[in-house]
Amino acid sequence: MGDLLLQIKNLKTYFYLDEGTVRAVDGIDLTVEKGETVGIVGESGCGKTVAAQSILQIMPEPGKIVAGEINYYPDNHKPPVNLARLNPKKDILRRIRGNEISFIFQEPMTAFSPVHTIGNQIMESFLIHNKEMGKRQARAETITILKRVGIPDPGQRVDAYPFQLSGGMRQRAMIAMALSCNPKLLIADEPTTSLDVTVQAQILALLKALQEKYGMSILIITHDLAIVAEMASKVAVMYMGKLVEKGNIMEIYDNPAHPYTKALLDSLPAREKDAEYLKVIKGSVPDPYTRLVGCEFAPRCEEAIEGICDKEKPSVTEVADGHLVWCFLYSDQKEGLGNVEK
Amino acid sequence: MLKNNNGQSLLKIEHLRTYFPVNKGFFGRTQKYIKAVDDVSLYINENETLGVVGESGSGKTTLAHSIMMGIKPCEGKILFKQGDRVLDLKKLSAKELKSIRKHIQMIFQDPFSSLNPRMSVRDIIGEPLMINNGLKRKKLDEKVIDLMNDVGLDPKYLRRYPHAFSGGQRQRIGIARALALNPRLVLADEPTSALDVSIQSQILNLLKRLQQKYNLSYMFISHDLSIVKYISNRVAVMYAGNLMETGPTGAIFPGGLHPYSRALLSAIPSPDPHQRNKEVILLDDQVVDPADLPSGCVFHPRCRYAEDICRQKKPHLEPVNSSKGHRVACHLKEKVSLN
Ligand SMILES: Nc1ncnc2c1ncn2[C@@H]1O[C@H](COP(=O)(O)OP(=O)(O)OP(=O)(O)O)[C@@H](O)[C@H]1O
Ligand SMILES: Nc1ncnc2c1ncn2[C@@H]1O[C@H](COP(=O)(O)OP(=O)(O)OP(=O)(O)O)[C@@H](O)[C@H]1O
Ligand code: SF4
Ligand SMILES: [Mg+2]
Ligand SMILES: [Mg+2]
Repeated sequence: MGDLLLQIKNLKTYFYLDEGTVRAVDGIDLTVEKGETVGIVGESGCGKTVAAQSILQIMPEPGKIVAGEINYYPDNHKPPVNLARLNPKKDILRRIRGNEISFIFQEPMTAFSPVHTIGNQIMESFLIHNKEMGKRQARAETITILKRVGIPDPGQRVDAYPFQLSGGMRQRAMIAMALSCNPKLLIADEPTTSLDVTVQAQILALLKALQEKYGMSILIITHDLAIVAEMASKVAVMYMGKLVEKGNIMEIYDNPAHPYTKALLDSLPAREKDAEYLKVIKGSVPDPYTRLVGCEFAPRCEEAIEGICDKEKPSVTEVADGHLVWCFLYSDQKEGLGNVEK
Repeated sequence: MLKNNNGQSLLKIEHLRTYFPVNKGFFGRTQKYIKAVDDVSLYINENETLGVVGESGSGKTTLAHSIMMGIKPCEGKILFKQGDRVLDLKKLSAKELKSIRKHIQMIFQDPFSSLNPRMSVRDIIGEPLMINNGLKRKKLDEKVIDLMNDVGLDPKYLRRYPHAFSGGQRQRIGIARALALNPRLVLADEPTSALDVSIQSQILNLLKRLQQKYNLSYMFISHDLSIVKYISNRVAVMYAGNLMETGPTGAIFPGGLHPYSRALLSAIPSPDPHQRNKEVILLDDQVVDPADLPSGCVFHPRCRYAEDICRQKKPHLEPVNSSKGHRVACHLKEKVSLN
């Protein structure tokens, strides 16, 4: 096992709204080691983005971290910093935000101001993070980093406004900005979702190459199982704010255990070679205010055990080394519950 | 099951061009055109699905709207088989066009914005039946309920409004409306892109089932190549308004022949992590200016094979000898095929 960089424990981020409480992130555990890529997958609304935003406390109002720890280990010899406890307005979290952990978004336009050149915005980031650096050097560094992320003619493009770049090029510029502080952790939230597949392939290749070069860790968030398969060494599958399964990517693909993971993989056209019809998951995700006493997936689950899955929350079971599943099918917990013989 | 293209295709388009005028230069004096669809010829047989792929801006949606005559193409023919007659939609009077158009329906990407929020499900699905067939009250309800059953919507929701439905259900409403007038051809423009993975497969199965039940033909536009591979009998690859390659799905996947198809198909990530780091043909991240397309082959600035002829002369779609129904627009297709 490598060195720990981030350890999320029982994180809960809720939105208290007039209509009810949205338990966007409802008790997740996740670790990221130095230099590795971890993926979070799940359907729309399952809490992937809020989970990632919670790490830097940049979730939208009125989202609040209501429980849990986010232990960040910048230095092996020192005790970790619990990011969940920091005041989001104080310097220390600000410093980590721009300097050590950076974020790339699905829509690069949100990261850039439309009225300044991309060069000025990236230079700004260099200047903030290096008090000794002068303007001229910052510009030179900016051109270097634009070149590094594969932007052709960086000496010219440095003076371009965001709208003058193609979607793929803007995404590269945003990656350049995120890298300008040489982060220890890069959080990429659907970094290629709005791009064509040919451009997506370039961006994924770029992220891999940069990771090899700089050794940073990557937390990649996506609804696309193929992207985690391409990028991540570990994957966590989310459903309605909770983890249902996590582990090594090869292990999860070869031996998926949770009925939701199995059903997701089975429903992919890429896996159904000749079948007349695809496998489906019945029903759809309930609205976010829904509170279930049992397992969140029980209403849609083909294998749910009546009297158990709809009555209690499953706890976690380790089905193989490092492969964790939250499901009664694998748990001893069901003995003593209900009166099912099995 | 598939018939030859011996003039019996349900739809055949020939040399279709749809241009949008743009004004460039001082005071808009030089008239330029965005060649959104540029000399495209293709056909769709009965009970067949033609998949259309290509990057954003390559002209897929414009092609669909041109076939519907929602955007009027400036040149070419749109031949539609009606009984034993073949009609050119571009030559019909407005009245004739209206009666033919009900045989061609469209399904849209965004089930949220394509449904009128102030209309109940009954009115959304029933509207075409009211307008075209004059159905009313009970007769209309009955027909709408049949359609709801067809697409897997519970008829008890007859009087509900779109906001009370999930994305997948809304897409079912859109499909039911498209089916109301018994179309022959359905043009589906990214019908599952806005849906979750778990809902996507429900909708794909539904489209397949309906195709068999009603003998429908589909043009299926999608940027998700694994879906196109799954659902299509034949595939057409577009690039900058041009058709680069077309042929049976088995001939296009897994590799294709055209250098652009090859790059496109190599870029699809696999959900199987054991396949990671397979060789991807990376393309230069160049933007094609749609109002100022490259000379010769529109793909030449990004093509790794390009030679002088590619810069000078536009290649035409030509049959590939070794594989039936497979056509490619590339000067160097023999050379590329050896690679
Ligand atoms: N500003 C907000 N106010 C209220 N609820 C919110 C807010 N932002 C997010 N939520 C809720 O939190 C839950 C998780 O949202 P989140 O954006 O994390 O999902 P996601 O997994 O990233 O989905 P997607 O794949 O669509 O991006 C959702 O139910 C969402 O409605
Ligand atoms: N009404 C219009 N006026 C002017 N230009 C247009 C119009 N509609 C489309 N275009 C242009 O025509 C070209 C083709 O657009 P189209 O929407 O058909 O592409 P597409 O392949 O459907 O792309 P996407 O995958 O993004 O949906 C683009 O350059 C687009 O900007
Ligand atoms: S015609 Fe030339 S430029 Fe176009 S794809 Fe073929 S080899 Fe490449
Ligand atoms: Mg999100
Ligand atoms: Mg389109």
